[in-house]
Amino acid sequence: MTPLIEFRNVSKIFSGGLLNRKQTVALEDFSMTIEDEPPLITAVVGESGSGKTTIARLLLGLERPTHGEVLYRGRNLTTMRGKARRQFLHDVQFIFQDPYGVYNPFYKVDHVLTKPIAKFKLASSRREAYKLIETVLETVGLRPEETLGRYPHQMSGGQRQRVMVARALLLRPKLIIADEPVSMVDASLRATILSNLQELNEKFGISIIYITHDLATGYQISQNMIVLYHGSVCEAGNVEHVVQRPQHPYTQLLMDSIPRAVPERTWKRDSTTANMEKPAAGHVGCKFADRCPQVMAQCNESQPPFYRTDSQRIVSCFLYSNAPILQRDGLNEVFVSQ
Amino acid sequence: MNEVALQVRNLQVHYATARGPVKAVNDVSFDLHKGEILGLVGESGSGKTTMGMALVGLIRSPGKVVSGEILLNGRDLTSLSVDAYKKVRLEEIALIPQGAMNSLNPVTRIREQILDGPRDHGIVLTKAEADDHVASLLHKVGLSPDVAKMHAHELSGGMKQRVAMAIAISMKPKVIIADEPTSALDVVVQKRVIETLQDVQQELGASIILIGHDMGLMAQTVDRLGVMYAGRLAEIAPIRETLIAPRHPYTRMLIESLPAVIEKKPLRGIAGLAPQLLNLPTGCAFHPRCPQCFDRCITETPDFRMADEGRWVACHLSDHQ
Repeated sequence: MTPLIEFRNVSKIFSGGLLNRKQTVALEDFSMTIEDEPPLITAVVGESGSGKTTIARLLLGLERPTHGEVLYRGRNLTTMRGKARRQFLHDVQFIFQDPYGVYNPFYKVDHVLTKPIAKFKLASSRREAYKLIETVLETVGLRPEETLGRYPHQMSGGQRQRVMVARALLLRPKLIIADEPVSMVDASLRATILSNLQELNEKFGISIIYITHDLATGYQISQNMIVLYHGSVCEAGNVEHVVQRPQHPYTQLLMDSIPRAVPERTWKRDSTTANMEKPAAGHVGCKFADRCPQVMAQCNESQPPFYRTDSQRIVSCFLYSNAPILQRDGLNEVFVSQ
Repeated sequence: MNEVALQVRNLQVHYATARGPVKAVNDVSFDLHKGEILGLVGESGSGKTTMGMALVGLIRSPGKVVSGEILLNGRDLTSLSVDAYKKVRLEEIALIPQGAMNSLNPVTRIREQILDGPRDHGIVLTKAEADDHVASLLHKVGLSPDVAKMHAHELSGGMKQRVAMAIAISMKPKVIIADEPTSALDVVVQKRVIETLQDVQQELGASIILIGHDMGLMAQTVDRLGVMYAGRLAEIAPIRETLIAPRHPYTRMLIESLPAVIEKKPLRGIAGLAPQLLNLPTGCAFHPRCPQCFDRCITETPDFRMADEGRWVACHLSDHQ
């Protein structure tokens, strides 16, 4: 069957304004496929400026790729119209980072739940609609009688985000794209929202793309992981391989930077200097070279290909140039598929 | 043996509302030792930010410090006039506010913003002296002297956070309160900013109160940790001991709710919601969410008492020992 979502050699370059001619590469030659069978959770991990939100915006159709194409069931997202587009809007749901900004403060929270029911004719009567809403709210652990009829400002950030998860579930989509869903939620509630997402995946067979800067939550809920740095994939594969034995120096830096809640001090001082400037278009070589503690001459000459260092992982780094090369569009070969 | 830099005794901060006073900080007492980093964690609404603001005398109406003492260098800060507090702030105690990166003035250069404090405190500097002072402060927080000429929008999040830090240390205070200094930063930048904060502390020999909600960050950074819940301190103890054997069930659940990278485990949140401060549960405010709740917890508010040498906890479970 045609895959649910396919990124084919997608690049997104933002060009500057009239005066500033500098171009910024937000995403470079990115290929990935998401299947709906079996439903899996894929984590896309990176810092600000890594291109992870560009991926989400391309998926939403808010940006057009500069090169390459994004396909939904084999059809190009940017040219999709009519029935096919409607089906896409039904099958792919988004959960955004900010549970405050997504609500219209003048409407009760019911609005975000009743609107999709009306739009997609999910229920034939008021009663049926209410039953549907009740079920999804209970699935995410909210009590309908305490949630419905309230205004957004009367609820906490965590509650609002769970209503958004419930709204996504309402449509029984094939795919949910969650862009930093817990970064603005209190630590004690994060675990609850993430386990809600996990439940949607396991019980309702929904595939999830989980976009985050937090390796730890990405590790906990996903099967596969893609680590991005300035628009390019540095490391990808089975999450157990990537997180437990990171091989790319950038993934290693990320892992070392996580503050762990353990009695031992695992934070070590390091000397890599932070370079937050995005490489301009036409940058040659590995994008991490100027921060990399293990940089070699060839790193500044060409971009490293994907080296398949084991059956379930690729690393884009010349340190592993003994390993066989995998084509840039072959990520799925190293992903867990069940 | 531990010298005390700052003492807080029975501090009460209330916000007046139409439905009665909200007790944002409710009878909190603790000591800040010289040269230590004390962490303060809690959920949104637990009172940690209000506490930080109260320490630097920035509680404004409808908020009010109702009672209690804040003792710094032998003086009770709560009794100071607004003008006297201005003198103390920045010279003796300084705040790096929450969202410090958005607290910078967008239309003045960084240099002027750093010099604003010292000037207001009546320090007259020649241009050369001012340049030196700004350059040395920027150097202390790991920024190049060129930053002085820049505007806030030219800086990244981590750099703005460092500028906020440079402003806070511009008059070498001995107590620094940092309110969620890294909450909007990426992990790699977060680590650098915290390292800078530690360097600054070493150099000034200052004590720091680090306010936040990330238990992992606390584990890697602080010497002692205070846990706040609904305006009260639930527990305060050396960080290592807290992580190995937390005394308060809330602390334990906070630690357990963290996703780890060591192994996959079922995600466990803390069930229930943070209490509304206007309508607190009877007895211990945590009892409706506590898995170990028993009769006494519902009727009687536990005292904040010393459970062991250096470990304070407000929980009836600790009374039995």
